[in-house]
Amino acid sequence: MTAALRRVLLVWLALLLLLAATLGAAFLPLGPAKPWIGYGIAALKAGLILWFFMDMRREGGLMRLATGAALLWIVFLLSLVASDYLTRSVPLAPAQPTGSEARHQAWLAPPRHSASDRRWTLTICFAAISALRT
Amino acid sequence: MPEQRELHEPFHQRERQEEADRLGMLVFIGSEAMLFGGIFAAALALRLLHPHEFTSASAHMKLWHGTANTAVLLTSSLLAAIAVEAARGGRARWAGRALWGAAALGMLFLAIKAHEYWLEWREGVVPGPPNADFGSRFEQLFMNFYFVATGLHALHLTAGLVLLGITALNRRARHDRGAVLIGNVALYWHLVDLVWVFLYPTIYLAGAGR
Repeated sequence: MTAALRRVLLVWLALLLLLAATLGAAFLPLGPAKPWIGYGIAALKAGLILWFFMDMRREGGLMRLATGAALLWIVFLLSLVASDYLTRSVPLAPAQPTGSEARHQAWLAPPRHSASDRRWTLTICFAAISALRT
Repeated sequence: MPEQRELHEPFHQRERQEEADRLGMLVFIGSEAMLFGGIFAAALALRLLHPHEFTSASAHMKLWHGTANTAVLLTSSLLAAIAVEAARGGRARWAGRALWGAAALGMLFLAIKAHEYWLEWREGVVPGPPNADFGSRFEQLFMNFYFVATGLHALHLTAGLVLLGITALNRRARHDRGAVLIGNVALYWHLVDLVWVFLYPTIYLAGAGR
């Protein structure tokens, strides 16, 4: 058995163990952590497939960049979708005045955001900046 | 005697040509990954808007069909990786066998999937026919998502099967020590596996153990 064959067999074994782990974890009472564990293990499996089966370990920067770009865009897509749906339940600002006065104020005053709104915006900005910097 | 692929315009070096082949395939695979990214974004939106309905709809899925199919596809990916290593090591015969093995497991995946679809048809949870009967409106939405996602995946898997067959029959590809064609087909096959690795927790595990 060559070293290359032994390596892919070990990776396959690890993948099956991860499958068993994720299946087992799905039956544990983990509450809100459950999807995080499920997708965390899926990401580990994907990492093994990308690194060993798809040979990213042997590739140069150009190939890794082409693959990484697709992953980065998927991260953008999912985080922007989540940033919309996760902030929909945020309570609205107190009722605004109505009539012509309100229209006047709306032109002059900047839109009001709740503290929670600002917190979300900051979190998403930080996440995007740190993703771009790495 | 290992065979070498001929050089095409505009390349003057075999290494550059092979690098371009590989890069082209990776960019194509990246675009495929983004196509499935849209499917996963839809799943995310469904789950964020209806967290409880999502898990209870997922609890009706055939967990063991999904789990068996994950194991089948992971093993099929292993065989594709072995085919690449065999071609690189000059073992053309083993490269061909591993490719056929990967294709056979791909067909096993489709057979398990077809059985699962058939059971769902009998239960009347396939959207479309007049006898369809869902527990709730969300259940119907979830089943729509399920059939679009797994149907698109099965379509890609079928295309991968054709590619595996063509490559396994290609004598020159099997004897290519650079494993250019086998390597690129294996990349596509691994993508099919990768997509399933994420569909599995999305569709099957979300409601497991409820």
